[in-house]
Amino acid sequence: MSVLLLAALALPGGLVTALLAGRRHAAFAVGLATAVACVVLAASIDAADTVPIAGSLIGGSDGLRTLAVAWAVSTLLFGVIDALLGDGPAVLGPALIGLGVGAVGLSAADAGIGFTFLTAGAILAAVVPIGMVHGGSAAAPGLGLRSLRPLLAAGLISLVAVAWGASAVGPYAALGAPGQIDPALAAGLGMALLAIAAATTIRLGAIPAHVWAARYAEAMPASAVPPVLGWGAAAFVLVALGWVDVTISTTGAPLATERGIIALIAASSIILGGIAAIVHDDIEHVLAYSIVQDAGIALLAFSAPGATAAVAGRDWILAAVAVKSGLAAWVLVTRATFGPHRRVDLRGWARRSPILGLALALVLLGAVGLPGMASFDARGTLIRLALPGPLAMIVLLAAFAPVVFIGRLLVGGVDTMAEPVRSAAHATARIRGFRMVGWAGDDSPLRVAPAAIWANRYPLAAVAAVLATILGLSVAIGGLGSTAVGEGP
Amino acid sequence: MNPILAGIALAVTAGAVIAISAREARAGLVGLAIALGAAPFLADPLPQVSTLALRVIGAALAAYLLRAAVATVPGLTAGRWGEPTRGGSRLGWPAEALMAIAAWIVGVGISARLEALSPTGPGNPAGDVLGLLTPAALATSVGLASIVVGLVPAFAARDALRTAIGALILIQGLFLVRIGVAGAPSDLEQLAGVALLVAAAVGGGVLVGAEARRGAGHDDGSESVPARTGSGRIGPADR
Repeated sequence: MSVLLLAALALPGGLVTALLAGRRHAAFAVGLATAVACVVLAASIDAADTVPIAGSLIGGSDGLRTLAVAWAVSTLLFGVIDALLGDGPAVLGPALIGLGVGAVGLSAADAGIGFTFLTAGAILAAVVPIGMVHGGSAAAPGLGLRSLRPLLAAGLISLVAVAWGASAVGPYAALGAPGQIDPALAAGLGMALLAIAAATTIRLGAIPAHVWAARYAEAMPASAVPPVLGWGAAAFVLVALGWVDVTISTTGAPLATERGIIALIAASSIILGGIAAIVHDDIEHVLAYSIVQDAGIALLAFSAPGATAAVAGRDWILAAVAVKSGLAAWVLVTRATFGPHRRVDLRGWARRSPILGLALALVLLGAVGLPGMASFDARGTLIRLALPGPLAMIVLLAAFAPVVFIGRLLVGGVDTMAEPVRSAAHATARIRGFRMVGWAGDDSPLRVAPAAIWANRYPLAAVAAVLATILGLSVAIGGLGSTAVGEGP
Repeated sequence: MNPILAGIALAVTAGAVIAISAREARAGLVGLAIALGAAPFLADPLPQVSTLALRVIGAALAAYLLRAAVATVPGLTAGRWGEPTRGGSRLGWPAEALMAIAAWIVGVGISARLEALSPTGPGNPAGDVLGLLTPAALATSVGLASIVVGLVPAFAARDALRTAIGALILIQGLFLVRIGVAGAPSDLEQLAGVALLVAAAVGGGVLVGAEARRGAGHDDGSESVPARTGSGRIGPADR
């Protein structure tokens, strides 16, 4: 029931927030209140709470609770950051709608329902902010079309695979005796696996379908990235892994060629994504290509048979998304605080804003990981299971590229300050000397508190970014905590 | 063959062809409304009244959202009867209709094979053509026809309206194929389908509006202006 309540609250709350975008204060009040309530409702999702509705089952699970809480908290934190930085509520409303639709999609027992809801949520979360952020700019229609089409393609390809699985030639109807698989069915299973992997590749923005994701991350505010390329994509992967578990893995078909193709694509995404993140100087590009690299590691879960790979894939995608949401928060606040987006112009940023320095250090810890952390173990497991020895070593080395591209940003942060960083007016906290609002001369807390918040909005946004990175680190340590999300047929 | 279902199938196909090939925006939207509004009735047995109503209202809402977005477009030039125009199919409606017919034939063939393979099916397909036009075959055929005519505009059109119409026809077609090959969906799955249709229409409407604002900005010779957020500040993407 909590999932339904979450959706019943997030959908109208997000819609009202989006419709009130012209009235900034009202929109943020509604949106942030909805986000807080969503966090509470997400935390109350119960694994034993299954509700029959409209001919299907909507059920909670421990994994769904973990994901929904992290998703809701991330939405809340980005809403707070946007409110503090003076950006409009263009992202918060669609993000809440995406959260509500995504929670229902994840909780549905049927993968077809899950893919359909998640595609609907992704289209709304991606395209609506483009119209609101870019308005009448010449780039808006092109960016919107380039974002709409991959999301639509991923959803439709996955629905074709699900329809095949449920048809008379699918494995449920056509599976023969145990250990015997009809060659036609084996071919169908292979094509279905490739189709789901292709849909996942497009949805995550892995190489070779990375262009749309890179352009989206580059053109939109960083707060718009997690709802589309983060949480929504993670939910898609969870449903896809659940469908593969039930439909393909249970048949016992080896599908070595198909899995090899997927492993090759995943390896190229890991290696090239890591190289691109290292080569690029722009922090938004670093964010985009680090997501591309993470997507490659998630794809490995489709190339390795067995439950171990699926569990590792679930742990990895959730941890990666949570950590990269922290990186997105750091990018958003750093850009707003200092202005430039090139590394060379951001020298000394950590000396000017140590809170942001702490945030990026936590991102580095979450992205690289330590033995015993769920994300670290999941990454190693996926690479070991999916790739042969020498290639596994190369890919494992490439997977540690965050040491270079995030570490380099950190090192540059303690360098001599560049001019834009030195001249940033609001980077550090102010304790006194606020400009009061209104004509009255008293110093009542009702007047001091808003003035203090406004004067310290950038440091406060940096604190929110630290909280986002702590969320990412905690998820990277604990993982999904369950394998029960998206296991429907 | 159920003649009523066959009539509905023809109406959905005709609506899809009109939606994709019409040059006038309003004619395209009428075709879209016909295709989306009639498709829920292409089932035997029909879904519950509430589900049927939901799908019809969802289809009407999707078409209306695009209509509302098109109504705000000042840049569209007037056609022969004062209708706003857009780029229709370059192939023209006869070619689109022929492709739809070809997809129908393929759909009937697929459905016949699936029915023969189905554990609950008759084992052998009917001998005559009319006997092959079962409800499942009609759904599969219309769905494939919609996919065939909707695929190119959805993924290769240059303007937002044509892309949105193509996407809606494509989504509808996929759901019909799913009904044809895998049986009647649950009510929740149909609700999810409505959500996807409406989401695609909202997305399409937003892009049609953005395209119109860009067109208006270029018409008066001005450069596109940076978007402003609710507080009047320039959005971060335009800084």
